[in-house]
Amino acid sequence: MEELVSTTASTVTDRDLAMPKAPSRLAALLRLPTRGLAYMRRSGTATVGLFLIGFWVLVALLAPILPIQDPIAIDYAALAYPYPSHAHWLGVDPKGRDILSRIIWGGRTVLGLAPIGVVIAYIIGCTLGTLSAYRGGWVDSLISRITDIILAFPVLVLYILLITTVGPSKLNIIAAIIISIVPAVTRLTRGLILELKSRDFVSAAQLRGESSWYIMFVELLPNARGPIILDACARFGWTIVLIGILGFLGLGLPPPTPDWGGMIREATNVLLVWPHMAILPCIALATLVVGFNLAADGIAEISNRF
Amino acid sequence: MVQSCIVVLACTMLVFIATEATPGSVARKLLGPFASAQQVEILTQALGLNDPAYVRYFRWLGTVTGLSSVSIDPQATKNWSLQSLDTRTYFGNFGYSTLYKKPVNKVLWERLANSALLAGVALAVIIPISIAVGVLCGLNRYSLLDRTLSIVCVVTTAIPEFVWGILLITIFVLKLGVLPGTAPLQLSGNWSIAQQLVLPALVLILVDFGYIARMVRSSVIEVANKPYVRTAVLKGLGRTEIVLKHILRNAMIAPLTIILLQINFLISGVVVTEVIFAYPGFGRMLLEAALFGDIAVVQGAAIVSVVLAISTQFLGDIGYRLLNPRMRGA
Repeated sequence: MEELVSTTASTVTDRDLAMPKAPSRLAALLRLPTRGLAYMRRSGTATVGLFLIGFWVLVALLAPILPIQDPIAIDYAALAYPYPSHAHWLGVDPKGRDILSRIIWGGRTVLGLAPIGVVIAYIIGCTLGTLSAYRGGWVDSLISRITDIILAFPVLVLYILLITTVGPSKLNIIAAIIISIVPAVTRLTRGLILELKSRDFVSAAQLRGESSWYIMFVELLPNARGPIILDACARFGWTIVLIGILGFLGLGLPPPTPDWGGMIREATNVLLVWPHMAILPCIALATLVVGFNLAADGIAEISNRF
Repeated sequence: MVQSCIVVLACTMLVFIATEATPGSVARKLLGPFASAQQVEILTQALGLNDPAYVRYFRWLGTVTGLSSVSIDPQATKNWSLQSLDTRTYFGNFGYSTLYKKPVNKVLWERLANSALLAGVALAVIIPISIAVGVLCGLNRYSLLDRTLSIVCVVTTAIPEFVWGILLITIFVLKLGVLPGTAPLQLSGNWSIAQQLVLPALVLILVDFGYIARMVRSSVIEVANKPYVRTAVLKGLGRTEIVLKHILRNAMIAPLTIILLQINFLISGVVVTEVIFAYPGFGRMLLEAALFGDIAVVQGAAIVSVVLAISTQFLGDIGYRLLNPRMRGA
């Protein structure tokens, strides 16, 4: 007993001694983006993916200051010649609105909705998964059964049920994204934590008398981050597709909000007359989604190499 | 097995809550927007739709499973004929569809058959191509061929169905004029049904084959690194024999279960492709019914898709056990 107490005491002193290192930690944190970039550049696929994502993020951020037209201003006169011209660089859509501007503002819509949904879903999913794996017992059974039930619905069936019941709006689309992602993340995290749970560092933390919350979120979860980050990267692209699909099916944001899926939906009616109206937003969506998938693939490749 | 049944039961409850326990009169939803207030009133009386939700849930469950007959209050329907009700008692009685003017059960089977046709055509191409590509990549890991094909797989899978649909229609219908842009599965114009199926199936193939090919690839790589493959090499066996007997046989186990899960996706998850090509499939029926507010069809379709998903999962588990000798005892 005497020994145990002294070991605990020495641990505490060690930690106190480590305190002056804190500034260097901050510096490391500041260097993280640069290090991340250097890491990604080791793979060609990841670099291309990152470039595509970076391009759209930049365009979306700059949308308000770029010299482009109003995305919802209607110019019926332009429909006489809806193809790319001096007045409208990429032409106009079936309602006479500038396609270039709608694509840029649409990117802003998608890149605004997807991260909110995905991040909230991962916070909830990781918490539930960790809780479920670490606590076990009835908590685990309850969480696992609910996950099973939601995962039993094919994703699109779930979306159609949800959105037609509550009606399409920004908030509801984010809610639908969260509901569909959370169960998958919960299952993934649960599996990872179950594997880590029997490691020595967990027993060590338990022996030091750390609270179970500390063990779950400071000891366990950070050690499972690799596969979770990888999964999140792929799911980002998938969420963007999903927002596009909702828009395409007419369950997305109500018009006239610029939204790639909605633009493609409106343009498919005139596809046989003016194909460029549908193809341009299609290219925008495809490049962004391919960007996320290439980035995810590249990261997986790099992490497998070591 | 018992667990699957409980999950299905919980799903029926969720579907019921989403369709019937939400604001709006159920009779109005069943009869559609063009029914008069009087008709709505009569149906509400006849079916006892003013009862609490849990009473209605169990009554509905009884009707669907064919355990109890449809209960209609004869007092309320004295002077009225109830065409829009399927009063027979049988398993899978989801009621009458106001949108399609048929019993829901009939609509479901028709649409499922159409979707299965498309899924069958697509799978017949996807399985051989994806296995060939996956094995080729897996055996030549990190070669130029592997890198190129892997990127092709990532890109084709990442591009969404509707983007493929629009690109293919532009090329084959608009520019070349060799294929029809819609697939209503009826002989219209000069296009045969086989020609109509080409483009929708092509979209599904492009979207799906890369995913399976990558699964096959990683499975082949995993097996090729196993000690028994090294033993076979050191034993002096020929390359063909090692690849066919030692690697491929074991590497196919994991992808087969994935392929089984794809059947489920190809039948109920391809709403977008069906919408683009106006294909009369299962997913489009669910979307149309949901937008129209035909809750009888929505309930039926949602439950059928859940049952389909759970049974393919179940079959996948059984298949995995049969193929993997180590799992047989478990």
